[in-house]
Amino acid sequence: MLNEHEPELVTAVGPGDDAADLESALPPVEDLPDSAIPNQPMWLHPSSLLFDLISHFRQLLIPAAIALFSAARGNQFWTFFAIAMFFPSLLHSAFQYFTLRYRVADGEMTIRKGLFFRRLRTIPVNRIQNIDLVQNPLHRMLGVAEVRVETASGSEAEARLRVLSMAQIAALRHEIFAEQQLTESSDGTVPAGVAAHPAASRESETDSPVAAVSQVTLLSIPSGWLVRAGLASNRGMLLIGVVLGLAWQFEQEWMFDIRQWRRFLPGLDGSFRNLLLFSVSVLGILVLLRLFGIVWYVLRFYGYSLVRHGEDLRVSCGLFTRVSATIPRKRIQFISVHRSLVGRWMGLASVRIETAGGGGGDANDASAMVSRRWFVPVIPDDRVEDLLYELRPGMVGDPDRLVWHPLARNARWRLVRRAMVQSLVIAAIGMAITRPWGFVAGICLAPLLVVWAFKKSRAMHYSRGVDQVAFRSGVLNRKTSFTFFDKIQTARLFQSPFDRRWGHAVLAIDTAAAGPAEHRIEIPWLDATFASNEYRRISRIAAAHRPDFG
Amino acid sequence: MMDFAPHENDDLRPEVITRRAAMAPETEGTGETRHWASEAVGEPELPAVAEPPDEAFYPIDPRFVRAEQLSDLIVAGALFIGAVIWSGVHAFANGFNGFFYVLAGGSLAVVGVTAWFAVFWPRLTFRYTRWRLDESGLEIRKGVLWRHRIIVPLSRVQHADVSQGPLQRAFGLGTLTVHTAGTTSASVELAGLNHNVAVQVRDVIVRSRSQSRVE
Repeated sequence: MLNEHEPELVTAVGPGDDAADLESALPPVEDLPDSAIPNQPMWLHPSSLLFDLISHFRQLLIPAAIALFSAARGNQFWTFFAIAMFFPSLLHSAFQYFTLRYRVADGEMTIRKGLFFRRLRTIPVNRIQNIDLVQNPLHRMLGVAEVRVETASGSEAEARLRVLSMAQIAALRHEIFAEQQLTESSDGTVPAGVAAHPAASRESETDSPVAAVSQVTLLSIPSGWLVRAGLASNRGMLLIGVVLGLAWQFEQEWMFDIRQWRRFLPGLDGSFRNLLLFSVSVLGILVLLRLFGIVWYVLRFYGYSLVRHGEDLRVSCGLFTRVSATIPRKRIQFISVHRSLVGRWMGLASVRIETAGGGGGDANDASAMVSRRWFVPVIPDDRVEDLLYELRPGMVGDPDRLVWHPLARNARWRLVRRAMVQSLVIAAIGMAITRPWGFVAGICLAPLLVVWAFKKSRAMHYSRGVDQVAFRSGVLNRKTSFTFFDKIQTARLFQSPFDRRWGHAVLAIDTAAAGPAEHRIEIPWLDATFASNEYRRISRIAAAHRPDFG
Repeated sequence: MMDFAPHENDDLRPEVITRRAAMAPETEGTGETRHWASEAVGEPELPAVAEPPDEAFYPIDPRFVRAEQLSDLIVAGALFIGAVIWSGVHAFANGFNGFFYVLAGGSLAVVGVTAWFAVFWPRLTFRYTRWRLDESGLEIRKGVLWRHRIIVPLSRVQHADVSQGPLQRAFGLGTLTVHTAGTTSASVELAGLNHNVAVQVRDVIVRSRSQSRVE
């Protein structure tokens, strides 16, 4: 089904001209004006003022909407309030713009801001892992982009420059990578904790044509896949949230009064009309939700390409807001493959990764979102294994080739018993609410819960390989996650009083991963002896591996 | 050797620990080499490791029990004073009515249960808190009802510190905190160690870490 327009897995060049490769839009270094080179303190691009204001407004959106509604009803106070809120943010933006300077010199990137309270941030350039770019249509019109400078530490970007012109960005990249090479050649050592010259490979590939690094396109996603992924996804549920939120802002009676809506319909009458109305609206909502999912996927991931430059993975995508992010392969702590129910019918999966720092939990941060949580938004199931192999050479991603250990034998009985207790509790609550029928409903739920418990316990498996630990779980939305011995921080074993009675234990493995995969390796209901053995083995093997924080 | 080591063979020197880790039979073939997928199928066969009994671990300092009892009794005492004041104020305002007896009885019961727990719980905590330092790293067992075990490989320790509250100082106790780069267990605490032991363990951990870095 998907093979008809499947692109080559390995191609020499990146995506087509229409694709969102931001880096290729940067001007060549030779053409840069001297004024763009950051060896003396540099200003941001003047349009920063505008973008800073816009970001302030985004935060003020809800108060502004409230003010608008109240003003429409004649309450002038809120209007004044909104205006009063506007001026401080204008002032703040101006202040930010006029006091911020950045500079790259002597092996350090310095960012200075503030007038009364001065803040000086110094980032050693050889700690800089990557420079991510975000460009929305307005940015593109003005020829600028937002820049995030990332180091290996912390869950946030080390520095965010909003916004720089493309010439400034090209110069900044050039300076940083030139400095990195300089510091490396001068003392020959890399500071501890930094994976061997992280960005050196990028340097050669962007600036000097001499030492070209192998550049492999791992994946580019045609729009057809995105449409399918959108169909399979539940992103539309976001829309429901937005609509409900809006309804809250409006007068509630006005929104939910069915009689109001009825006026817009032709003058049929009777129960048939009501039925028709109901089914049509349900169908309409369903179609709308799916449509929204498709639109979301296409907007965000249009022209997606994943390219490996030497040891770096570079993602770029987006129809209006283009994102370009780089992830050094060594920084990957955790890989998680998700297969939803509908996705499985279509033979699709998605891959999330977690890195130390650079979280991705922040939904407002487009580049972190794309580079972690939605690392590979959609990929045909049969190509997952090859991709995983590129993310972490040597790993075994094919579930059929791993030795999977199930839960303890009696785990399912424990789960079944729990399901029965749950349904009894539901029945009791139901009986308290509506006398006979609540109880009946609760009892009818019992078989469903029991089947669910059986399936749940059957789905959970644990596997330990030479280099990796894997955990899979999930009945409808199946998740398989991998981590690696050099990334494992601690191993934990946990027993509750119930666990002790059943002879079970929880095995948990902690990594520096920041969490967007939503699938921690914490395996409950394992056989206690097996779990304690694995706990001991994992920590021994991990202790023998040199830690690699990347 | 360290004076707190109950076993003759437990050599806590970092070089010994790292050498042992390198020689550990279980870890053969899992060192630095990366195996390619064709070979990596399955899992390395390792012998079953018997779960060591609690006796193979060090207990914490017995003075922990007294210190903990004292700090818990202080809480119980504060509760008692609060209960007395509340009941007194109530009696002063409303006389000795029915509610006074309910209030006084209830708060006395709460204070009594708290005091009982204050006396008896620290003993259990002491019994179930164990630790040791071996080739896998720092291993801690704790928890009376909900039992936790954790191993922090020494190479994963970012930094370690020892802290001491006023009561702990009076009893010569210290809390060892080990920080890793992890997320759910980013810092692992071990309370109730003899302060000198805590400081020595911290030094061993920090030294072994700096040694493995130099390599």
